[in-house]
Amino acid sequence: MSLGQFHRVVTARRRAVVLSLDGEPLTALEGDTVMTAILTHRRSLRSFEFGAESRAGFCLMGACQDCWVRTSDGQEVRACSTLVESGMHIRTKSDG
Amino acid sequence: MSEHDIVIVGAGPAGMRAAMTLADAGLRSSVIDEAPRSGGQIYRRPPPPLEREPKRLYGFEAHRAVSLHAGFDAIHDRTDYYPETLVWSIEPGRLRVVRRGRPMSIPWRCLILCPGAMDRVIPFPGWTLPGVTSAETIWALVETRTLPPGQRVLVAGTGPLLPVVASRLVRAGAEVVAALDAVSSPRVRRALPPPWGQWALAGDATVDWRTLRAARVALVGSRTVARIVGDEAVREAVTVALDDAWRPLRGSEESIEVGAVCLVWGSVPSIHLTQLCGAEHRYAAERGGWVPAVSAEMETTVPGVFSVGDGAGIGGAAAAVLEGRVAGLAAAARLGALSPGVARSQLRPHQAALGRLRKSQEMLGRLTAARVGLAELITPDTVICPCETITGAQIDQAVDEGAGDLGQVKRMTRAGMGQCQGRMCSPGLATMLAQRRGIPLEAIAPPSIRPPVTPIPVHVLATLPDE
Repeated sequence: MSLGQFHRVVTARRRAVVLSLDGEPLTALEGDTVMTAILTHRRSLRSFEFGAESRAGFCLMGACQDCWVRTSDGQEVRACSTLVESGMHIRTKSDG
Repeated sequence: MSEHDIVIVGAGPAGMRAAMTLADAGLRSSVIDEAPRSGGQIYRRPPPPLEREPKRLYGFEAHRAVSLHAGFDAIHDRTDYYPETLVWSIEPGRLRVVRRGRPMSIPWRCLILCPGAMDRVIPFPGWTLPGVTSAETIWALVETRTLPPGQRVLVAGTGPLLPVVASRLVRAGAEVVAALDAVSSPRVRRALPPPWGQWALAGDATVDWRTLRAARVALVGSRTVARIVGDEAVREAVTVALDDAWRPLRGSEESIEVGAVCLVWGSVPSIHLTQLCGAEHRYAAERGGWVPAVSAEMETTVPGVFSVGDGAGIGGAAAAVLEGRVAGLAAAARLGALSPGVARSQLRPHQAALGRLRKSQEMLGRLTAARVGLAELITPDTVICPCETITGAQIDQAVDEGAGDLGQVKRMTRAGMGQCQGRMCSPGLATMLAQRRGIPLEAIAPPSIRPPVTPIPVHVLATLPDE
């Protein structure tokens, strides 16, 4: 848990949802955004397109476009305003 | 679709209230909103699994949030509500939107724009590190019931939200190391109008201060964060004293070990949509920066286009609700659903209340408005535009080569050309330009805007219906 950027304060009474993150299974909770799901396990969402630094989202209201990740069909979604769904495949590594 | 083609963009307090006012006058409107549920940012409604009692979600604002939600829900059969719908272009008589991935065109004759605001970013070394967030993040964290990992959080910025954010973090269980206010704090406290609650978001400021005192959180005035050190996480923050122009005072640096930093530099009105309509804008530092010029009825310089809520100038939810009512009544009168006499008498008390509210807000707004001295913190490798990763050195070079406004800087460096279209970096970039060139902030025009104003899939453009 200490590996995450966020940690959960309360988890009671929410169903677990399993999705895949870069091919690995990831357990989130119903009602989580993709961002919460990822950042409770990792420090960041993805790397800068033009540098080595990491990005972890900033505005959390769908405006700054800092938090986009990809779904398995190649679509870009904003992690902060997309809710997790069971069986969702998320990719954070760029194809170059 | 409404027979009068009245379209409201944004379902926050202003938009919800405008739709309710129109429905009361017997007019059907279309309400377009990005979020899956109404409420806007301040009264956002979490997804069902995260629902809790309103007091826990909205604090001292709970009564207003509850009555707005109930009122908006009650008009669902008299309103066309489009959640999860993004406006990407406004043309005369027609809005272009994307709804759940599908393109749509919505006709309009009367437009009430309620796009809200964004947190202001003023760049400094380390602000893009994971673990550095803005005020808005705190509401999201409260909603999702997560926190920066159980360690120490530094809160820095200014304005009425600063103690609110710090105390909400404390109540959520975080250890807040200090709350740094760029303005000397006793001055802010003196400027706060009685009753405290008038500044919508400030809620009950006395309770926030009591929470901070009980948790022994130091509220330090005339100081801010100058630099953040870390890699995949925040490790350390260097703080610095500021003079009255917010210039950092060399030699006053102190470093503290922290795990997260929350920046609270106030909000910037979202003016992309009023810009797209071709409305005139003016600079109002006390209301957050560039705002559309509006009449006493909240109508912009473009006939039939109204602007209300934080997008018309930062005023918080209480002002947004009053403005929503005013625009709703004015639009209803315009469309003949209310006689001019009735509309005038109904408008008067709301306009008077709004006048009183603005007077006290603007006093505080002037005191806490962004001052350009802060841009002295920017170093050559400070990221200014995160989308394109443009640094301070690149901006300085462009300024040396004669770039004088945001448009020239953008064309020379790509700053503001990325995915967010300058939403994040423009206010900070304007602050930097003003400081480097020694000119006032109001001398720097907002960046010009063109559709699409939000990223849309290319297939939306490719499949536009023939017209």
